[in-house]
Amino acid sequence: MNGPVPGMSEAHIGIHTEEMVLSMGPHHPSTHGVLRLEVTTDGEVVAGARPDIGYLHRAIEKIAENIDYRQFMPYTDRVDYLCAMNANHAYALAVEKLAGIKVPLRAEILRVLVAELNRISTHMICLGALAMDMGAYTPFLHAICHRELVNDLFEEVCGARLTYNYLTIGGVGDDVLAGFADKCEQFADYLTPKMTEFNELITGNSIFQDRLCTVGVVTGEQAINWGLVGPNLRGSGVRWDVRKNEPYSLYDKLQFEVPVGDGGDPKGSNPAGTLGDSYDRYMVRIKEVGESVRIIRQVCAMLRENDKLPPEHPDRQCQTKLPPRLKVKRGEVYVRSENPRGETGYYIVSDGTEKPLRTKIRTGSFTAVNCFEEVTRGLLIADVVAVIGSFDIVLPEVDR
Amino acid sequence: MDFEAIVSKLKSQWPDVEAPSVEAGDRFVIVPAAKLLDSMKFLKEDAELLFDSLMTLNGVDTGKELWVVYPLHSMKHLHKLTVKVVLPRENPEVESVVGLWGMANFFEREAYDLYGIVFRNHPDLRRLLNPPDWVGWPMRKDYVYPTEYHGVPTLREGQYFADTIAKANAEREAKEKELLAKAAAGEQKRE
Repeated sequence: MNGPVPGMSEAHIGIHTEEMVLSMGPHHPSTHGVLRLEVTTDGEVVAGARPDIGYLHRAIEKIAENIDYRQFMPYTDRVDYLCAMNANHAYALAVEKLAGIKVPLRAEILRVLVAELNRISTHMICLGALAMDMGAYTPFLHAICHRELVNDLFEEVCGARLTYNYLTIGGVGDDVLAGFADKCEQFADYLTPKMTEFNELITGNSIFQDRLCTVGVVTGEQAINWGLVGPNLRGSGVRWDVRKNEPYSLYDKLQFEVPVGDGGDPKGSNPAGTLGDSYDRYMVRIKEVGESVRIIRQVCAMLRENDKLPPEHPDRQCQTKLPPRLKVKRGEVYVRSENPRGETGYYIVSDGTEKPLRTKIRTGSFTAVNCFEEVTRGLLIADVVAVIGSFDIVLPEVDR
Repeated sequence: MDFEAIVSKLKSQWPDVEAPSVEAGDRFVIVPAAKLLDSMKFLKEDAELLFDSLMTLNGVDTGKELWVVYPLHSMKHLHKLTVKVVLPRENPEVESVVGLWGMANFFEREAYDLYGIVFRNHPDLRRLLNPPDWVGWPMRKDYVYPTEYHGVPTLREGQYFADTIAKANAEREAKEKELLAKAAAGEQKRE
């Protein structure tokens, strides 16, 4: 910055200052993985933060072209390892739409159940990590504790704790053990008071609020233009949820609300902030956990109802019968589903053979990184960390 | 608006817009590359269409030609349209849409990085996922995998690229077929 600075004494006028380029990451703990930011700073103020990505690029889209549709399912786990169930779900939906496969009712119930459990577990990481970035370590440990219980449930379902590979094209890998619905409801009963505790611990903390309110404001129009999706879009006040607006699986039969940001509203959860700030994005995720618990309770009731059917009933099956070599008609499809980090869309082109011609994965974190430079301009360096945390960026999803 | 209505509206402005029929999946329109920016602007700003959200943007290599695909969605009218541009494999160039949808920035850089499609008037067209000194367009069907990068071999001992394995498999299958044919011929002789 050249020229006089307000508040400076006359003796300092004429001192030449320069912008400094600071490399933040790729191994900085606050960048949530291997994201490098080229931060141009003017004192403490960020003049521009250019993201440099690709450190985790594993060419998953190229691999997809060399293997058949079923073999690609385990790779979708690695696209977003924090919510592998949802990532599986998105891919299965796309292939099923292209191949015209119908999924049995029980498989749909189990899919929605695991998807919502996974949504809770990944939101726990996001909320805890955001609190940790803001300097509060304890909430992270609480959140990880709650997430462990979801991992235990998933271990019972499919044997894995991180990359599940549970969903298959045409259904789910295996049926759950008897009494799984009870365990899920126990978890729901456990989580509700624990979320109140979590809110008391950090959400109402005034230092935490000061760090997040009015920081990294994205208006609704900007959010749509920049392609923000999921909680980041809803934090800007746009009531858009693929589960509600373009229902897939069982979501049209379930009762749930779509929480949106309410910054600046004196009666809302964020009276001190601005609509679309980091605190709004945080609050949307807190509220979404509550909605997921609601969905889990409804789905558990459906699962119990389904258990009463005779074992050979078509609605009781976990898997559609498919030929061993799945061939898909010529065509292309773009299917999106609501994942915890926003819409995950799969664009698949089939040329009529066993292998797809092209598989493109569009993820929520990728567009969040895209708009980073505009959002962080004019913020303090410490606030960049708040913006990264509130966008909930997961780097394997960005680089693929 | 449904697909047919959108297509007829587009055709009234640009008669060379094509809407081929498909066997399965979504329908799409093919727009000539030279008229992409005008038609996209029309799609975004026309009050009846109002495609304010670009869902994704990606390149495709069919082996013969390159595509750039723009699936659009309107948050207000809740209709969708997939727009496609067909480009030649040699010197593929198309106008950038970053001015219309800010989200296209990284997606166009990714398509440039992986397919070598040049987006004219893009504010900052550099490689995105690969290092800046990477050679070639990795997602093209005829891409030759490099054996080393800055002196570091890309394969360990006993590791192969997918195309080597596919070639070996094809050779083995051909040999098996030959053997089977020989055996069948031998049996016929015995009979």
